[in-house]
Amino acid sequence: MSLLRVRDLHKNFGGLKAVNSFFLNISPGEFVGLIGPNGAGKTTVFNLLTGIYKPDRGEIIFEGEEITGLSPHRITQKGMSRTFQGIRLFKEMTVLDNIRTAYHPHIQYSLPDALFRTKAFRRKEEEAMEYLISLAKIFKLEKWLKAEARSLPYGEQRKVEIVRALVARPKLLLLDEPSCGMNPREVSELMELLTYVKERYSLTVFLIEHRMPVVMGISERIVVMDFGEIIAEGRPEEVRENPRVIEAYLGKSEWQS
Amino acid sequence: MKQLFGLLVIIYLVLRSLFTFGLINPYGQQIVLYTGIIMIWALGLNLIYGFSGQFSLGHAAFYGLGAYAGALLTKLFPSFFAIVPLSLLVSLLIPSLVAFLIGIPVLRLRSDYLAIATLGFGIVVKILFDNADALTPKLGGSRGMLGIPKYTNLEIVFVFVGITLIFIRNLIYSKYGRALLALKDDEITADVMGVSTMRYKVMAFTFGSGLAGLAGWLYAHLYTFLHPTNFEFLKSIDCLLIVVLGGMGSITGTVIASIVWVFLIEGLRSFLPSYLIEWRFIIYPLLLIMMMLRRPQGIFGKKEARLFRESSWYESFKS
Amino acid sequence: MSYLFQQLLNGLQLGSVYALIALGYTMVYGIVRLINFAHGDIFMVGAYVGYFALSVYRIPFPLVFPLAMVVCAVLGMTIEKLVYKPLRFAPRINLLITAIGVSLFLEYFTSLRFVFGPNFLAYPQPFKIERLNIGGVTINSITIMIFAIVFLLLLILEVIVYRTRIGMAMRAVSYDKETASLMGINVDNIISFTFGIGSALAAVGGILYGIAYPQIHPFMGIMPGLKAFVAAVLGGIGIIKGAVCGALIMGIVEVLASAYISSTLRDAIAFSLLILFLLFKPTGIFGREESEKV
Repeated sequence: MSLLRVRDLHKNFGGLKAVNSFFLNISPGEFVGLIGPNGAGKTTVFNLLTGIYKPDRGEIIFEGEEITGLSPHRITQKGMSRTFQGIRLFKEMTVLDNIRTAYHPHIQYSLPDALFRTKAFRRKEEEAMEYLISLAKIFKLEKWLKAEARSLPYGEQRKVEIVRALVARPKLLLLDEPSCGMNPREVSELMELLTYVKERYSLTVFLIEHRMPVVMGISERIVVMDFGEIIAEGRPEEVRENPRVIEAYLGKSEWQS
Repeated sequence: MKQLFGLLVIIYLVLRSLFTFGLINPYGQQIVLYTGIIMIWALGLNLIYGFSGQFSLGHAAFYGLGAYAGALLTKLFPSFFAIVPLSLLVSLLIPSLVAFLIGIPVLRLRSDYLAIATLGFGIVVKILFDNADALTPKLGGSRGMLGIPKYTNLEIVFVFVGITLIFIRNLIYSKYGRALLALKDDEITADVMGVSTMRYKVMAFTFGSGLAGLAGWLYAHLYTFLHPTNFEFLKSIDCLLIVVLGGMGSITGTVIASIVWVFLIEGLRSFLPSYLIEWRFIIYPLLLIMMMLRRPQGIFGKKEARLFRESSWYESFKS
Repeated sequence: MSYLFQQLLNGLQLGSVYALIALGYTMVYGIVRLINFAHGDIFMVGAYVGYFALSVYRIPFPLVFPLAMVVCAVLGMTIEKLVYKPLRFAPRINLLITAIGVSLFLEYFTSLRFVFGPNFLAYPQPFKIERLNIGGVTINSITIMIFAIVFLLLLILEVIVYRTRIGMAMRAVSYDKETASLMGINVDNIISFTFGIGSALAAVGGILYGIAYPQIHPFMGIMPGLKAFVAAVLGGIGIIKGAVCGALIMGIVEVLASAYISSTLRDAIAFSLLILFLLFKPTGIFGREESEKV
């Protein structure tokens, strides 16, 4: 049974065909990578999957349920969460609040509970706090919790983004260039982290990456896009040798003489 | 929160004695009550704009809706003993309902367009007030509505200021408040994080407008006279000024700014020699401009007095 | 039937005056994304300059227009330099609030006794009014003058914006300020120029309004300003032909609402239509969707 099934997805912006006839199938527990030159449409695919853009044509089916055209928060509540290519933390909030906000759908109390500060309110808030703090400890972020999100070093901000995506207990995690801006040491830490997280939380991961060592090393399967279309798909070794893929990245061999 | 409660009680007792022993003259008493009313009104806008980032230029319209709705009831049924709580409820509910109905379509708009839409709404409502005597002559229309019973007193104002402060504070320091702050910060990301942005925008708008309506009731039953010009677009600007002056997203800021604003308007009226009275309408916008140029974050920015901040059970988690 | 045409004519006349104001709003918004609330008050100042020029200083009628245009252009550009420019990179809301402050200041300052005074003043009639009757519809020379002047100004504006270098610079800055400055365009000057043109047009609008609806007072700019702004949004804010279209529609709607429904509810109807329109097509008649890149 597939976790995510995408059929014939299309998205135009004015005259530009950003995504053209995109098909995808991801099974539970897979680690799939999405690569392609800049402007290939990878982030647009993520935006379509998470409901930020509405597709012009096509279907997106998550866990057997059609989610095409749903608003982002509904899709997230169904178990798909993501990080962004540029960090989009809530700048004015603390790290803790950033994470707590993502936990919003799981904190169950009503408005009167909040207004009157009932026992239910206190209990749920405390439970949330415990869970979030323990999560922060796993990712070594607990010393940053009360700091304003924008004051953190870049690498730590990236971690917060990832933790924020995890907090919602997703089944499918979409990561948009998580290693962007990191140095090699941080990158290898990230790779360990991602592997650990995937195992521990039984996640399925769909990853956009530019760093070939990362994506080749960690993905079981890779999808390659160029100019809005899929040009290749398969195991990392296969894709690496695929002439169309090489051409997309390096250009036609005619120019190389 | 116990501290807040305690402080409110103390302030009430002080004011109560000052009033009863005549240490503040009737005009001064009215000013104090008016300050409380403005505070509730401004806290409503702070919820909509300061915390949720929805730029509403029609806040005075909801103030007016609450005022007229409540006043009509008390005028129509002066001897019915339960009319006070009933009309208070109406003053709260009618603006809330209107805000809810308007909010659902309008809050989808981007900030500039939202400003225009709420501006337009405010103008339409004001014109409706001008023509209200077509509905029933008791509403007065463009000549104004007279004869509203004077029910507002220190106790009522205090109770509602207290409830408003406590409720807003409790709202902000809960998952609902975080949702609002998130959508103000970055609406798309908030949505992706699982926060139903439309639902919470409408919620904040409804609540804040309801508070405006409540303030309107208190206003109508203090001054006993309503005129449509009290609720025009320029008045919405007044409220905006208070929220911005105090610092968007700061309860403390709004409270202090409300007090400062009332005393500025009244103070200028008392202290300026008569030939300079008109100048207070020039000082006022100059102040606004100066504020934007020099200290746009307002007096308090985002700072919040310890009184209002998240309670101590959270502090105990400091590791 | 001729009643309808008469009202349509009146509406077009009103709309033409609104167009002059709306253009200023739309050009300024297009270039700095600011809703210049003070624009309606510049319109008011223009009317007053015309008033003083005609009744007090007895300046010949054709010269009154350029005089008011210059005064208002200078006023507009001064406001921009003093108050808006320092806030150019501030959040939009701050600019909006500042613009509101400037607007209030202009209104209350000019209503001081030693400035324009708070009273309504009757506008002088600078020439004899001829009336023409075509098939039951009365056209008077004021209407013709308004159409002629507005048409002429629109033509001149069209030439400036689309056929001169400075116009090209204006368009470039409105698409992308940073890139325009990298291309060697002096962005500050272009912005000043835009404010200047917008204010000059509003000044003419003020004089025409004063002649056609002959009562002026310091707060006269509020309603026409708001309506012209609404018109600019209706047509698609930032788009010149949108402002003109929107203004004409606004004028016609207002006059028709007043004639056929109710004159007291006229403004309520006009603004209600606006809100309804905004809900379905917020970008306006000619507007394009502006989507945020994620």
